[in-house]
Formats: sequence, structure tokens, C-alpha cells
Amino acid sequence: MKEFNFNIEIAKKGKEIVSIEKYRFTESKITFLFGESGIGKTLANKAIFGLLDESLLDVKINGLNYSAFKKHEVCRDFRNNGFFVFQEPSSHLNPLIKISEQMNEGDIGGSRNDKEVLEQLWRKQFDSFYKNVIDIYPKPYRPSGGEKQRVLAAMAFKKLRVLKNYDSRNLYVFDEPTGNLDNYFRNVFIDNLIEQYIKHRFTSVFITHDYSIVAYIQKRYSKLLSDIEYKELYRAGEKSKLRKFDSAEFLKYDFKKLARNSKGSGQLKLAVKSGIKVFERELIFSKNEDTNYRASLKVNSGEITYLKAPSGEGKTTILKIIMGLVKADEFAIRFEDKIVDQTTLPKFWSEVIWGKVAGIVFQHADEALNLNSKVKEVFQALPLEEELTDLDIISKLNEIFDEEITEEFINKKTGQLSGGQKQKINLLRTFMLDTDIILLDEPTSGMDFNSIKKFLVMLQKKLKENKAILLVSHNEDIFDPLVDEENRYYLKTTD
Amino acid sequence: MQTNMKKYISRAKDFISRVYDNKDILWIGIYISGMLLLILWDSLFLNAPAFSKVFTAYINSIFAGILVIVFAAVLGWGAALAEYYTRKKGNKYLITIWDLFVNMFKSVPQIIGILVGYIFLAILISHEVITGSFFQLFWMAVTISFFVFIEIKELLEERIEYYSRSDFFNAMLCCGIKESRIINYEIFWKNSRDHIIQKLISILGITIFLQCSIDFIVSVGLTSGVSLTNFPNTLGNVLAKLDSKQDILAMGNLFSDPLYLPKLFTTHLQGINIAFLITFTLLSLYKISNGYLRRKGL
Repeated sequence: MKEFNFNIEIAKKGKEIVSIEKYRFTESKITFLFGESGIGKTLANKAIFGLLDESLLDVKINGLNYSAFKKHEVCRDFRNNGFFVFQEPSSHLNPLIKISEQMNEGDIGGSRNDKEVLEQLWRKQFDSFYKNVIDIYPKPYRPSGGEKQRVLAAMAFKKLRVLKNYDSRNLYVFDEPTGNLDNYFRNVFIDNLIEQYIKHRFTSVFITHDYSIVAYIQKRYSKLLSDIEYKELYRAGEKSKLRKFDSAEFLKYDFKKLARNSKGSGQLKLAVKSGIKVFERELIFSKNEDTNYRASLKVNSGEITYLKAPSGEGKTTILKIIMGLVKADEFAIRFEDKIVDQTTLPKFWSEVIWGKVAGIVFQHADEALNLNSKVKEVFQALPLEEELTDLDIISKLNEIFDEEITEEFINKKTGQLSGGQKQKINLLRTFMLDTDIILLDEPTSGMDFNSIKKFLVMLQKKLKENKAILLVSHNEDIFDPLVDEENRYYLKTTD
Repeated sequence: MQTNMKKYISRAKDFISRVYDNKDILWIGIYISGMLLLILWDSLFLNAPAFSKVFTAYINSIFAGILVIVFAAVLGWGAALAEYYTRKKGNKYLITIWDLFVNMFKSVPQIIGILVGYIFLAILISHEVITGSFFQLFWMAVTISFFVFIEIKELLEERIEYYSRSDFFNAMLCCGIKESRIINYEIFWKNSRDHIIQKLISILGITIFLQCSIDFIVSVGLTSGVSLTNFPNTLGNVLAKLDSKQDILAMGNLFSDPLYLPKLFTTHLQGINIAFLITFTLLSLYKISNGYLRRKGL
């Protein structure tokens, strides 16, 4: 089978931002491309698709300057017969045109099978969601991130249906197509993709951070494994390189060993009463996925409590209510011996909780860090008993980073780091506070598998130190094995 | 030798293209060059007393302008913090009193407010409560800054509001980092420095414009107690004086006698100098401010 092979160099104002040697994928196969965020997965794929702006970036592909490459047969084929599903659905949809109309623009208008495609992605009757989700303007009606992502996926699937001559040179790039979807809809999307793939045998690159996809593919599509490749972009000095991702290593990795090694004292550190009233809805906790039997959310020392829910259900809101950042109309929380509710004054959190009893790792490191601060300033700002020296910071960072941390690195602005690097700094900042309660919102987002493993070791250390951890993550394949059944909760909304 | 020459030429080209791309730096260069050229010309053609008067006025105006931006920055910063903490406290009475105080300054047109301030200053100067050019300029700057600091206050408020909605603000709070540090260091210093500098450049322009306007209004005589002789020389003040007015009128003469033009630059220099200094300074500040805005991507 033929391979596409590219050497990609992208620079901005003379400064190299992405350099990938031997970026390869095979025709007529689905390539799952992993790697920490910010390493260049999106840029590399946009570059080969001819989507980058030459006036802003200097791009060279296989030694050709970008305007010559864009005229090259390979790039023209990609653009004319392929499809690129962008990572950020909001930027893909025009807010001034109804979604239903956007689904029929250009050559995808030739396929009038919206109903069928959408029903497959929603797993619901067309009429039950069409009016509220599809026959609307993206603004001000604001479909959720997951809904927008399914709309884009539907467009890609429509494009597949209108093609008359299927060719292995038709490239379909899906850039984080399941980033806003919970596991159920992620799997629905993958099922649809593979169904189309079996029919048309196109070439596809599926960019993702979600390593647990490997487990799903292995379980459900074991007969198709020869048509699927797993690759990973990794940092090698200043360049990024592509390597085969060892799916077997992921599948064999014993996540349970963390749970076995980390039984703590089990003393109750945090409890949240079920039935929180916020934003005109009521949020409840249940220990059962299928029923609404209410249970108080309990977080014990030396244990992880895992809170699960579909996207948009309010998991982050719950964490923010616990930390006093969102004021709920009705709630009751117990921090060790202190009880708080809607009548508690905000200064309670600043005086008693923040950085002393509890700390939180926010989901998006990009937003949680001051991007104009140097790496070392992020840690030096912390109210610790002893001031941190550069050496202290370097030694802490070495615990989670693959590459050797240097003086130069800690003097960089956080805005210059990759997404994965930012996330590690985001995590370390809260871990260094040494609070008894730690809330983690999607802690592994943007990380590669090596970093995830290092993070799990750090988590284990925290559990040994008897810290109580409340975790929110859609990465069930990683976290389910290391959290006891009794510590898993489901967040639900009642009308 | 030739290679070295090529290197120098290429470096010079790079330098020129960089300066040309960064319009603020280009206009700082133009301004400095323009001023040097003016000094050279004036030293050749302008008589010594007029030369001294013009440049004292220029230095005084710029000095007062710089004092204004310092005071406005301090007042604006204090007012933005006071507003943030007052609102955060949620005390209705305190908020009402604060709003009344701020709106009082906002509702008075700048020019009227400064004019009233100047009347008081003139009284204090004539009663020799404020003596010496430095203190007179100092109090002039204080008066003007009371009516321009709102611009800084509103900018800082916008910055706090923007960042307080972001996770970065909340994440730092949850780490136990003091709110005052987050606002002053992380938001103002780390994330708003360029915005503040750009605003201060604009305020310098506004101040010079306001000074000139007020001096003109005062020159037509508001009260018998307020006269230009009470105040130190500034650009507007000197422009409003008789010699300068006659020089400006000479420019009108060009319509009937275009051949009079060369004489303007040798015999009517005081008024033209002042007019040039005002317009050239204002134009340069406008261009520097806009160029800075673009260079920093604000």
C-alpha cells in the first residue's frame, strides 16, 4: 500500500514553530494520530491540506515552498475530494446562517440525506432534536460543543456520500472530533466513521488525545486492525517526530496497580449533598448510572472519588460550586468539620478553603494560566511557607516532564509552551500547594501517554500522603480501573 | 571588503524596514528629527528672547503633560481598585456614594472642569499661595489630571472585568494567591502594561490639547482676576499672546500675497513655531499611540 510521506517545516517571522520529519500515513487506512497538544498535529495536517496562510507563515513541504505545494497534485486532491473537520466547532460554523442551511452548502448540498446522517449521530428520532439543534442559528441559540461537533461530523459524512469516485487519495482529517463528546457519543461517532470506511476505503487521519479510543477499537473492531494505524508525534529536541504508538503497551498498562497501592485512611474530607439548585435546574448525584437514587458525594482521604456525566451536564459547575466560584441557589457542602451552604459568605472560601484546605486543577490549562507569566513565576506566586528557588522548581518539573528541564525553560513565558506542557504546569501548581482536598477537572487533557503515566505516579504519591481527590474526567478507560466502584458517582439533572 | 559592505547594506535595509513597519518608532524618530531641525532653524533665525520664550513654553507644556499622566495613572489606579472593592463588598450605601463621586467627575465636561480649576489656581497664584513655576505647573497638572484620570480608571476596570471572568483569575484565587497581587501584578503589570502605556500616550496628547484650549479661553478674559500673566508660559499661553497672534495673522496674508511665504519662516517665527510645535506634537503623539497599538496587537 502506498504511503504519503511529508517533511514539514513551518516558521513564523523566521522562528521555527513546527518541524516534522517523515510525517507518514498510509493510503486507504485510518491513522489515529496521538501526541500532546501543541506539538503540531493540527498545523501539520492543515499544512498538507493547503489550509495555512502563506502571508502569516513560512511553510515548506518536501522542500517545496507553500505556493508550489498547494498546486501539487497531492494537495489539490486532498482539498478537492477530501474534508477537514476542524477542532474548534465554533470557528467552523457561521453564526449568521442556520445550521440546517450550512449543512447543505457547497458540494455537500448534493446529498439530501441530512435526516439519516443526523439520526445516526444523535441516536434519536430526527424530529426530537431537529427544531432545537439543527434548524437554528449558531448564535444566539448556542448549541453545546458536543452538538456542534456532531454537526461537523455529519457534514463530513455527507461529503463522503456525495463522492462518486472513491479514491484512496481522498483524505479525511478529523481534528479532535470527539473532544467535546462523552464516551457514548464518541463511540457513536467512531462506529459511523468505520461504517463509512468499510464502504468507501478512504484515507483518514483522526487527531486525538483520547488514548482510550485504542481500547474501544481493539474491543469492537479487532478484525479491522490491519486497516488501522496508531501513530504518535513526540518531541525530539526542537523537532517533532512521528513514531508508531504501541497500542499493546496502552492496553496492557496496569492502571489498577495504582488503586491496589493506594488505599488511604478513608476519613471523610468532603461531602456534597445531592440536590444542588443552580441555573434553574437541580443537580443530583447517584451511584447508579441508570437510576436517580440520590446519594451524597463523598470524598475520603487517600481515595479518589470519580464524578461522571455526559458533556454539558454540569460537572465543572459542581467543582466550581465546591470552590465557591459559582453561587448556587441551594446547596450544602461539608469540608471536614465545616459546613457551608448558600448563606455562607464568599470570604469563607478565601480565608479558609483556597490553597489551605482545597485546591483545584482547571480543565483548560490555556485559560487557567497567566500566559504572560514565566514558568517559574507560576510557582513563585504560590503562598508556600518557604520561597521556591529556581532549583526547587526545576526539580519539581522534572518529576512530570520527559525532557530535562533547564533554566531557560523556567524563564519562558507559559504562553510559549505547548498545550501538554501547560497542562503539566497547571497540575503541578495545585499539587505543590499540598492541600488535603484536590479537585481535578479533566487532568489528563492535552497530555501524551508518557505524561499520563507520570501523572498517575504523582497521583499515587498524593494518595499515599492521604490526600482526598475528587476527579472529573471522560477518560473512563484510564480512571475506571483505579477507582473503586463505591467511589464512582453519576451527575444527573432533574427537571 | 565588498562582503562587509553588502552586510552593512543588508543590515541597514533590515533596520529601515523594521523601523518603517513599527510606525510608533518611526514617528518617535520623525518627532526627534523634526525638533532638532526646528532648534537649528530657530537658532539661526529666531531672536534670543523669543527663542527662550518658545522653548520654555514647550518644556513647561511637556513637563505638565508628563506630570498629568503620572497623576492620572495614580488616581485612575486608585479609583479602579476602590471601585472594584466597593462593589465586591456589596454595601449599597457605599456603592451609591462612590457612584455619585465618580459620576460627578464624569459628568463635568473636561474643559469646563479644568477652567474652573484654573480660576481657583489663578486666585491662589495671585495671592501668592502657590509660587514658583514648578509648583504652579504641578498644581496645573493636578487640576487637569482630575478630569482625565477617568480614562485610566475605566481601562483598568475593563481589564479587571475581562480577567476576573477567566479561569486564570479563579485558578489563582483557588491557589490562595492574594487578590491584590492577582489584580496589580498578574492583570495590570503582566497583562495590561501595553494597554496602559498606550492610554497614557493618548492622555499626554489630550493634556496638551486641553492646555492650549484653556489658555486660549483664559486669554480672552474670563474674569478680571484670571489672566495669563498669572500662569507660567505654556504653548497655548504663548500662542495667545499678541506677538504670536500677529505671526499667525501673517499666514493669512499669504492668500493675497503668496510671495510672502519665504518671509514667514524668517521673520514671523514665534507664532509659527508655537503653532508648529502644538500641531506637530499632537500629530506625532497620535501616530505614536496608533503605531504602538498596532505593534503590540492591542
